[in-house]
Amino acid sequence: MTHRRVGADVVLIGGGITAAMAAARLTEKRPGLRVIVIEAGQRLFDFENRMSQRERYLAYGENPWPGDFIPDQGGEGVISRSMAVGGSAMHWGGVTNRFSLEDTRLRSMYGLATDWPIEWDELERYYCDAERQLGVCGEEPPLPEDKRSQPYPMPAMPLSYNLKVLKTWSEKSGLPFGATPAAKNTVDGYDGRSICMRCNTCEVCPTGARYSPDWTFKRLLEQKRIELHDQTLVRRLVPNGTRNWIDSADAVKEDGTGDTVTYEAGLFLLTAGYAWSSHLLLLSAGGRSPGGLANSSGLVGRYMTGHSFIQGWIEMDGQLYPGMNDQHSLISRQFFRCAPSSPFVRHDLRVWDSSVGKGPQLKNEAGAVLFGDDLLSDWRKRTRGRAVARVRTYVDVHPDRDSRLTLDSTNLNRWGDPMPRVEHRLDAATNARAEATRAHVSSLFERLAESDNGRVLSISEGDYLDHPGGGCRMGTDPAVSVVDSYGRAHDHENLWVLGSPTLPTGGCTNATLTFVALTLRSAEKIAASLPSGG
Amino acid sequence: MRRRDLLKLGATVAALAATGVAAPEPSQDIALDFLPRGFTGLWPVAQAVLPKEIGAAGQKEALAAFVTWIHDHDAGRYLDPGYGHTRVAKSAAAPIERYRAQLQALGAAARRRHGKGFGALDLAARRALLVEALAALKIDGLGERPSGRHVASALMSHYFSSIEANDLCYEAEIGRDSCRSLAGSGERPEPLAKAPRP
Repeated sequence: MTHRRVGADVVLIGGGITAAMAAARLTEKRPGLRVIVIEAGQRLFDFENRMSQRERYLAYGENPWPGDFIPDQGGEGVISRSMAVGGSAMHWGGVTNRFSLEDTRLRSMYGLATDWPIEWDELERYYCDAERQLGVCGEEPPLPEDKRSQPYPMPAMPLSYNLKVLKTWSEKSGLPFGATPAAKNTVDGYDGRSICMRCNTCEVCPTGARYSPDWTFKRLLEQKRIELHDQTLVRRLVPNGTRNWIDSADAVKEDGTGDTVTYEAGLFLLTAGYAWSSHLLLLSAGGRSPGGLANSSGLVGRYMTGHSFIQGWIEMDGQLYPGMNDQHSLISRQFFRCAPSSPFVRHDLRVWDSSVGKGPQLKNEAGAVLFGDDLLSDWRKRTRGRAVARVRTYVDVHPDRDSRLTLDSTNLNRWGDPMPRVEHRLDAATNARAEATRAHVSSLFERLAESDNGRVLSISEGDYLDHPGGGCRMGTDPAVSVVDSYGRAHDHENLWVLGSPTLPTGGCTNATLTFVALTLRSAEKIAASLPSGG
Repeated sequence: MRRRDLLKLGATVAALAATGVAAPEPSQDIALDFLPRGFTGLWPVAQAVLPKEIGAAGQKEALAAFVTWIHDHDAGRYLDPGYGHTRVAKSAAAPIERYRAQLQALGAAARRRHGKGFGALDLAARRALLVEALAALKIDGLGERPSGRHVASALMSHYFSSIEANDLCYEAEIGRDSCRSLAGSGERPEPLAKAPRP
C-alpha cells in the first residue's frame, strides 16, 4: 500500500450529475484551474455495450449497469445503490419538470415549512440554463403561472398513439395536460447525442438520446479540463485546527490496492448527493467539530426531504396498445398552486398508458389453469375495448427536523466506517392534513374516471419519499441552516455543498432539474469567488 | 425468432447435449434437432402449452427461443435492484437440471397413469398432468420473466411475454420495447399481418 498527496485548486467529492454540471460550468468560467473529481465507484464509459446490457436486462432482469455499485458501500432507507461515475443519473428516466414559485415560498404564502433563500425569477433563469445543459425537450406549458422566459431547447417528445387517446380522455376532466418534459433528444445531434428511438428502456438508454453524466465527463476529460479519480473513496474531510477551513480530504482507493491519498485544495465541493454528502460531514466529526463538519446548527443530516406519492389505475372505454414509448407521459401542473385560503394540497398529476390487468394470466377468473389458445383467448378478451391508465401524484410533504440521516454503527464498510441510515419523518402539519390530501387525490381520480365510462380500479400510496434531498439545507440564518443559498457552508469558508442536499423541501414533482439549476447557480458563484488568476 | 437467437442455436445444442442423459420421446413429426438430449420431452409440453394459433412452426420457433434463453442464463449475475432499493440480489443457478428432472417426472407420471410416454398422450391428458405439476409447486402466475420453478410455466412465461405473443394478442404490429424512429409516434399500430400457418 502506498500513500500520496495530491494538490488541486478545486476538489469535487462525488461524481454524479451535480459534479458533472459543476465541473463543466466552473472550468468554463475559470479555465486553467486544476479541478479533480473524486468518485468512489468506477467509470462506466462503455456506451458500446448499452444495447447488449439492455437485452440482458429485458431477458433476465440483470442489472443493466454492471459494476455500478460497491457491495459494502450501502445504507438503510431510500438510498440509491448506484455508485459510479455519473451516479444515479446514469439510469434516471430523464424527466425534467420544474418546481414552481410556491415551492420557494411555503412559509410566506402558507405558513408552512420554510422559504428558500432564493428568488423565483433567478431560479427560473437557471432552469433555462439547466435545460440547455441537459438537452430538454418540452412544450410551452398551458398555464400562465408556468410562464417561461426562454423556450425549451428542443420540441416536445411526440405523443404516442396511446397518449393521444389518454390526453383526449383526461382533458374531459377540465384539467390541462401536456407532454412531460424530458432530457431526451428529439433533435438528432443536440449536444452530440442521437435522437430518441423510443426504446422503452430509458433506465438504460441504448442510443444515448437521454442525457447521462458520462457524456459530460468524457467531454471534460477529452478537453483536459478535469482529472477524474474514480475508485477513490473519500473517508474524511480534515478541518484546520484553528481556522474555519478544510485543509484536506483523506481517501482510500477502491481498486483493490488499498492505497491512500490525501487531497489538498483551496476549495472542496461536496457533490455526493443527498445521502453521501451528509454522511461524509458526519463521518468527519472530531476536534473542534464533535458533531460533524459544517454542523454548528446541528442540522447536518436533518430535514431529509422528498415527496410522497399516491397512484391509481383507471379503466375506461377505448383501445390502447401498450409497449410503445411507455415511459413518456402526460403531466398537468394544475395543482402546483393552492389558494392560500384553501386547505393546503399541492401535487403534480401524471398519466401513462398501462398494461396492468392486461397481461397474460395463467389462470382465469374461476381459477382454472389456461393453456395455449385458451390462455390467448382470455388475454385478448381482457385487452379489448377497455383501456387502463396509470395516474400518479407526487405530493408536497414537508420534513420534520427528525427526518434524519444518521451513522449506523451496526453497518460498517470494509474500512470500518459506519454506513448511513435514512429515516424520513414528516412534520406535524403534513401529518395533520394527510387524510384531506388522500380524499382530494381520490376525488381527483374519480373525476378523471367519470369520462368514457371509467372506473378507478385501485389506489395506493408509496411507502417512501421519492426524489430525496435535504440533509444540508440552505438558508440565510446559520442557526437553522447548513449552507447559504449557493451551498457555501456557514461554518467553513472553503466548503460547499451542491445540489440535492441543499433543498429545504422536496417539491411535488421530479427534482433532478432543480438540483441541476441550483448547482449551475452555485458553480457560477464559486467561479466568481475565486481570486483572479486561479 | 430473433436473428440473434437463430445464430446461437448451434452453440445451444452443443452445450446442452453434453449434459443430457435421457432418451428422446418418440413420434415427433417436426424437425427438432435443436433440442438437446434430455430435452426432447419439451416438444410435447410446448404443444400442450403454446397456442395452436401460431401453428407447429410457430411453436417450434417459440421453443427454440426458450432453449436459447435457458442456455444464455448466467448464474450469479447481479440483478437490477430497482429504483431506490439498497439491497442487491444475484441471479439464481441455471434451471437446466431442474427442468430436465421435471421433464423426466412428467414422463414417469404419464407412464404410471396412462401406460405410455408423455408425448404419446393427447393434449387433454398432457394438460391434466401439467395442471397437477404446477399445483404441486403452487404456481399461480406467469411472472414477467420465466422462473426456474417449472419448465412448463417457464416456457409459457417466455412465450407469452414475448414481443411476438404481445403482437398476436393485440393483433397489431406493436413491437413492444423495440427501438424505432420518433416519426409516426402518434399513429395507431398497423394490424398484424396474418401469415399462413402450417
